[in-house]
Amino acid sequence: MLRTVAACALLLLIGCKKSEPAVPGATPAAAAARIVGVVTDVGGRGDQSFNDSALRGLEAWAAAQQYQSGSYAPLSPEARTATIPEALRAKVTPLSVKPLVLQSKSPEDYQPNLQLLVDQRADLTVGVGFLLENAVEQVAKANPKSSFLLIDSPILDAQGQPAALPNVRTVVFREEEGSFLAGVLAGFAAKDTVGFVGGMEIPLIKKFEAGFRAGVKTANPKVKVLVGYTGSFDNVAAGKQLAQDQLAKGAEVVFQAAGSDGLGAIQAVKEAKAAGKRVFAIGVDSDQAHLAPDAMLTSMVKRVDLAVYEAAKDLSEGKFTGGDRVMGLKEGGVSLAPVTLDFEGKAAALARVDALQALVAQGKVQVPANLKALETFEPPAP
Amino acid sequence: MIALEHISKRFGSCVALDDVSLTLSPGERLAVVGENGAGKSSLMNVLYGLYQPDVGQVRFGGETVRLSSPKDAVRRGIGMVHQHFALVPTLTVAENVMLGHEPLRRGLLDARAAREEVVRAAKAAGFALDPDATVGGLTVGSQQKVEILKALARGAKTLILDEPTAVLTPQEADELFASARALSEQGTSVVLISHKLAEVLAFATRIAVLRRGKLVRADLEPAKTSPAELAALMVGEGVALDVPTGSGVAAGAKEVLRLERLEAKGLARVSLTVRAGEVVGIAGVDGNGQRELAEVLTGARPWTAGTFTLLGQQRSALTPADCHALGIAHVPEDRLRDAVVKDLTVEENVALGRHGAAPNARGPWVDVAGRHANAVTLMEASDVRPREPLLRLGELSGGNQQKLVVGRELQGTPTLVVAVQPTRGLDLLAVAEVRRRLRQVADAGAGVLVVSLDLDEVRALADTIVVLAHGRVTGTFARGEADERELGRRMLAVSA
Amino acid sequence: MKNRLLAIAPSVLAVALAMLLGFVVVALTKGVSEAAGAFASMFAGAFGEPSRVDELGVFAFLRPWGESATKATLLTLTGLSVAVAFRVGLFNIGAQGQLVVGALVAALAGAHLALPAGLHAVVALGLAAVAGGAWASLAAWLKVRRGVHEVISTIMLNWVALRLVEGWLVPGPARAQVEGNNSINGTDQVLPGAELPNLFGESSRLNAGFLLAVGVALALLFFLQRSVRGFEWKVAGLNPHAAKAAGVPLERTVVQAMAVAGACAGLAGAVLVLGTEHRYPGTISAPWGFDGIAMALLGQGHPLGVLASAVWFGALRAGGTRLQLAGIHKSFPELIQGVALVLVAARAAWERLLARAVRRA
Repeated sequence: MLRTVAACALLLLIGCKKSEPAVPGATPAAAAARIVGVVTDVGGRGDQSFNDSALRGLEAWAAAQQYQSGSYAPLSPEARTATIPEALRAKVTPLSVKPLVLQSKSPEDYQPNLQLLVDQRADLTVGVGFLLENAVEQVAKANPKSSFLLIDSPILDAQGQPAALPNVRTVVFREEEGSFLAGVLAGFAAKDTVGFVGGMEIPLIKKFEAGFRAGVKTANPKVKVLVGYTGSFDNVAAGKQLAQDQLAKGAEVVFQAAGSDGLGAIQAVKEAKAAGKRVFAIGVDSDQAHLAPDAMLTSMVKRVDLAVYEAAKDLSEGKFTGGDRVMGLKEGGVSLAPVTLDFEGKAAALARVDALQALVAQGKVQVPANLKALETFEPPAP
Repeated sequence: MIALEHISKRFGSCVALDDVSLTLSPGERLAVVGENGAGKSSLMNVLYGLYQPDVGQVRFGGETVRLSSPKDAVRRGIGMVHQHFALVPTLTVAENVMLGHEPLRRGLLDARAAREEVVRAAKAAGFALDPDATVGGLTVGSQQKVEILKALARGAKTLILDEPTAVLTPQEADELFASARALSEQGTSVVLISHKLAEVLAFATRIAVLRRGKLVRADLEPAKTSPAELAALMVGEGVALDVPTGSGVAAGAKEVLRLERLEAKGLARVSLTVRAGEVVGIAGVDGNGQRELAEVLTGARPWTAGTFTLLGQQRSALTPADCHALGIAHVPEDRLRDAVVKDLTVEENVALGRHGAAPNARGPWVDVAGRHANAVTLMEASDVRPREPLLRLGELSGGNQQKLVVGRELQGTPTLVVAVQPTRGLDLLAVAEVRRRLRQVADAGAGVLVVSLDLDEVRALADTIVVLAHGRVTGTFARGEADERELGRRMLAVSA
Repeated sequence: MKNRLLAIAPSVLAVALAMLLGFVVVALTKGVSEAAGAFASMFAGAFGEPSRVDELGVFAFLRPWGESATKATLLTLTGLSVAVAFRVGLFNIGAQGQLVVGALVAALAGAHLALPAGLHAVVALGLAAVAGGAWASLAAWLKVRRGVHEVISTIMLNWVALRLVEGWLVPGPARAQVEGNNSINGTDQVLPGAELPNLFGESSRLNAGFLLAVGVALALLFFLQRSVRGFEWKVAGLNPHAAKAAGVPLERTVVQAMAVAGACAGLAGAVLVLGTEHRYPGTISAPWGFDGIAMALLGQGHPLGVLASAVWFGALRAGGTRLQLAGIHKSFPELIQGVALVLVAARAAWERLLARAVRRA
């Protein structure tokens, strides 16, 4: 078996050496429609969060398509528009792109899936999530002529230092800025205690914590913040337990940044609300209001869809470039979902949130992105 | 009148029965004898509806009948008592007898009617059985009577007894034959399948001999024949079946094995010696400590007290590996469990036990050529057929498997041979061969310990007979010192 | 030869029938031409695309082979792990746990030891094998000393390994150290000298791990068929009573065989880390260890049989990635594997059916 393989390989090497010396990459697409590939992380399609957001940016916003049982169908303009937040509707126009999506069964699939999309002549290949950082790095190096987009992490070298590649655009979000506004809102809604439920205790999630705590402090320095981490992103029960614990200690608002664990946290708040307590939850990544309509104060939305859409747009306009991008409040990369529930002092709170949002967008307020910066953070005067 | 006419039956390429015709009259006691594989069991299975013949027919009183299952046969009055009983040990005698055709009253079991029926049947057959006794607590002989009662209770007019005495003491065998004789005098036909020529001659009114699927004779009268003639008919003429009795133990021969007041699970205060050149036979009813004794001697069972002296050295423990090193050969009772591996080739099985040494291995590697050559030699010497060392062992017949085990274990120069039921299931020729080999190694200076449930075998082979009952030694006799009666009493641990 | 063909026939037929069933199901739901297209693209993804030689050159073959081999390597090693244990009559359900332990040890050794290139990889592989073997020996020890059935203990040890490694060490003490606000999932990247070299450069992931897996299969074949110890394992597996009577030390055999089984699974973990992932990723969620059970059964416990089934199913999985593009669920190759397994397991049943049909005819 092995010998045959080796022999064939050798023959082919000799036979093909002259005709095709270069390592194959993506070939320039002749057709008008550019192919944009997406590799989801193991969460996959239907996670109601991160992956779905990326797919929305590509399939609904850019391609005006709808994925149904294994194939695409055109999406009506009305249905498409409904998926786009009002502020972005003017900017987000349909593009001539063809989506190509691969889901991953396990982390070992990231690399082959990315490579497969490249081999399927994808003009741009998107890796959704920092879990794909290593895989995007390897595939991008092997296919220098192809373009890549990595969400949520820069390319890092073995020492963990940013090491940009010319054919890779990376987008990270200023989660701390969105979390900051969420914290401000929580600080107004609560009287003396709020809670933060984190997933894995990693720098990415610490950004949420730092911003949130800074926001709470800005709104009302007397409100105490309970902080807990579940240590995972896929353990609903752990999130629920942690949130219940915080509620029992008097938390009135619980902000979750914990993947699937966060769904448990929201569930815990929903149950407490149903039991008659005055409690709120704040969701993350997508607008999660539908998960607990009676208890969801807002969600800290990460516009992964926008990041993917913008890359696709740049591609179709021939303007795609690599490099590290950061999307904060100013760039529309993070935002708060509409606040529909009422609470005492809501108007004042929203006014304050709007004011602070402007300050942050103008760069007049620096939101701390880690706990060290939090220590020296001075809340802006009202 | 039952007639089996021109019955032929093949299994693949093997002809089990070849044009066999046999009749059975009411009240007749027919013995069917033959070597293993001669077709005795196949013929009876045809009569009992377990096999359908390829050619030929079965007639009951002139009527041709198709027996497609034992149910049909039972309906025609055929009853069969197998070697292995089909009894439920936790039920009583009456319950066992009525199991499967319980008398009902308004849809419910009529226990009283059942019990009465059993009592009546037992009385008619002359069996002294307590209908309320639990079967598990009965002796083997009594359990067999329950089996016979089961057949009779289902209306058997013809009783087939398949090797019925293999598990009985001589006394129990006598009782069985007396009962069977009484039944036949009341009109029941009895077919006895056996390879014990003495009991055949004593019991039957007519003897039929099968050889390799063919009926050789169907009309032998016991009074006008002899064991020698029967054996010759079964095996073919001109075959030597006698086993030489040994030259005896030389005076002052060294002791190979000495056990003194040995205690182990299932054994109590066992003392015995085996000297070089001596064949010691262990007699006893099955389950009286023979297996335990063999296990102790082959390193499979630890002992808890007493002394164990092997080749002059007292030992405190023994492992199977020690046994191999010390030259203790073991022919176990259940070869497929303890001696060979069905799914290995014949040559791998020949190597087993000596697989780590020349000629089977060279260093840590298997010596395939050496192993093959050794297997060929052994198969030749022990007449294992077919001579195909690469055949899967499971494809050899039981007799050839046993010849292989015996040949393998007696290879080289064993110091002590522990053989448990070494001839069980073998045909006359193979039995004679195995016994000759055991005698040979004894004459060559080994101590031989033979455990057998067949008293005739023990008496034929052993220089010294040790009787075990309930795990204790209940008698030790030199050759010819005790007769069958005396041994039987000791086996049941009944004082004379 | 004929016997050997007959012996492998059930597995080959089961796989073929499973493929056919898979095709029929796809054809019924999507149409015949779509099904044919999907299967064609699956085979192209598994064995190469002659139609794209002009464009991709030799990599039209080498890249698919690389993907197939990457998966086949892991399946081979875990399959051998199960097969070796089965040889002595043990069911090693714990290959997954042994793999996880081996992978972690390889990742740590690869990242934190300072050794010359090449030797570094060998040492990391060796340590992973030892770790996997030690982990499996726990189950053997429990069996020999405490009489715990290996099925129970290996299943339990899977969870212990998973919680220990993926629940604590990888997200905790062994986590990659990153400065700033970025996150890396998993352990530190292994040093280049500890990586298993790709055989054909960057564009095909075919790496030395595949050669290792083939080597291990051949070595085990030779050991099992030609060594005295291998013979003893076989006897112990087929008939422990006879083995004991023949002087084979059963307890030692159990421990040794389990250790070798664990070493194979540990190597699988090491190849995963050193060959393609280059670090312990946050999780190894693919059930390679459990797939090993399927490989061992389909390969009938024979090292070459395991290798053959692993190569076939590794290729199907590599190619199966493309089925998603045709709108077929990502787990389709596993589905075929499962059906084939059921068919093989039900072998006795359909042999009986066949025999009855023959008798009627």
